[in-house]
Amino acid sequence: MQRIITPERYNWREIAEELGFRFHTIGGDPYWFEGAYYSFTMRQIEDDLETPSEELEEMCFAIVDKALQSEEIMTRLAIPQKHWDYIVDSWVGKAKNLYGRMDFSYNGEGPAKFLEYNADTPTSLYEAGVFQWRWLEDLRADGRLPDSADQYNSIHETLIEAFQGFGIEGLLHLTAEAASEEDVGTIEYLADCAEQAGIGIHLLPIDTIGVTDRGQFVDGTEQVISNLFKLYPWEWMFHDEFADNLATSSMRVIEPPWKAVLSNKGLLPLLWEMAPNHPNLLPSFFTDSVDADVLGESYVKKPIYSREGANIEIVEGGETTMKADGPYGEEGGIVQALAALPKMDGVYPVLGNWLIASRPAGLGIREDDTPITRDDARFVPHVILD
Amino acid sequence: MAKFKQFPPRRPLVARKRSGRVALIAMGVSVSALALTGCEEQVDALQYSSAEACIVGGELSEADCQAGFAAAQKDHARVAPKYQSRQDCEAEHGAAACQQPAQQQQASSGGSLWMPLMIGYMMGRAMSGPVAAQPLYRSSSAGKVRTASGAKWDAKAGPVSVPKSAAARPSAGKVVSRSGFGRTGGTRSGGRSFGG
Repeated sequence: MQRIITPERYNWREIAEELGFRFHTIGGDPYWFEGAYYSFTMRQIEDDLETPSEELEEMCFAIVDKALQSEEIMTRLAIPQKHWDYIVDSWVGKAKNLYGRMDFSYNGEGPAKFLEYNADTPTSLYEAGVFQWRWLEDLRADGRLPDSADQYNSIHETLIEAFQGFGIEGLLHLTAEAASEEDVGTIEYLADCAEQAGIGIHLLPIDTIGVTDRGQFVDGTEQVISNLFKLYPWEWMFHDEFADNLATSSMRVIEPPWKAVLSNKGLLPLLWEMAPNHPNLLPSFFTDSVDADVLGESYVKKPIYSREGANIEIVEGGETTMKADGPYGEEGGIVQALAALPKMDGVYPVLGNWLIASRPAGLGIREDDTPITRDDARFVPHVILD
Repeated sequence: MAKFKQFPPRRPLVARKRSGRVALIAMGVSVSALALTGCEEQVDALQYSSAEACIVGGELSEADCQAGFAAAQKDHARVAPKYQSRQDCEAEHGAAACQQPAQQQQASSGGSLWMPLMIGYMMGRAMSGPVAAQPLYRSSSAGKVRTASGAKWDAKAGPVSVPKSAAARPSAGKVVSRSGFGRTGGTRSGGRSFGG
């Protein structure tokens, strides 16, 4: 694994516009960055990322199974009790899932360390699946990379296959918070994949969803929403006004409700408890656990619910060396052994391993100027050179 | 609001896909078991182009045929899919399959939008059963009808098997509330993405 500095394509902004990639620059700062790329060997990709991510997914399924039979675990995960049956039904009914992103700390050697699982509302999908793909295509065409250069990236075609597998009759509604251009871009991309899978689509802002006197959800034209993709976290859905209508509405939701168990930092101590010393896991504990002391004076503290690096605190030698602000933390938290991100050319890359329908499907790398990857981290492409 | 206006027009994405890595990712039979199972329950319904066709069909009583048709027709303007333009509507329902609602219906159907003509209806054997009487529309696929919510099947008259979710009444009553999702996010997210 190397970070290679390289010239940008002179026309990449025009290509981005042409492909509908509008959030490549956010607030004047670059989000897509191709002044460098990461180069891997096939062995690193297959043995150190792809295979472990598949194994971890199986372990995650075991955790869901265990959590849904334990009041104690569900309480620790801060999932409201009145929605437990709804979640259990989705799991017992084998409600399919679409996607998730496992984030790893990895420097090219030794086991990649699993930092967390964005199993419910991951973004940076389009960048990884389409724009990164196109970047390699262009660099190969220019002769800057050999024709044999490859990429861990079947995201686009596996998304289409996954949508075909859902067997959706009728329309798929896709919703996001309209104020976030990045989120809107993500559901537009997913809508495109769904359409290619032969599914009729309708996009709508989340706050326009209505509920009828019979408890069914409707869109702005009063059509019933039978299938909903929501780029909006379950833990927020459960606290919104319409939460009590979810179980009775018969609306299928993607990601399914059981993803609430996985998209929760509480997953990390549960995995560690199930498989202590697993090479890809970091020792992790709930903050109130007596075992947390074994981490000593260096660890990372994360709230159970946290997004884009918010409220994460790094403690080294008993001192807080880095702390990100944010609105999270009231539901409790976890501590995790410190697996500092590698520092390469002065930046800190985190590796996002995509799973589509629970199968490993690709890689997206984001780098930040700090050891905590926040929402302004840049997306940087990668290549596999054997 | 038939379309999400804040969204600029979408453009086609990649026309083809890197295939060299299929071998790399085509694995994982065990974990994908969950992703591959699941098949929706089917229920029996009847569909006809008119109450008369239903009566001739002989599966239901004359009174049931007429009651089912009346219920479907009554719901039609309210539940039919709506489009901003005739072109959008015809893309989904075929040429000459669309109309603008009459003036008096516009209030209940959402204004001067385009909607497909009702070409038939479906109902269950019992009015109170799992199949709600509802209008049917032409679909863009040849030989298929579709419901207001978009479920499609063959356009043959008489008994038909349909997915349970498609059998429910298309718009289930009066909208009593909106904006019930989104508030928790609005109060908590300071970043530019609500996802991550």
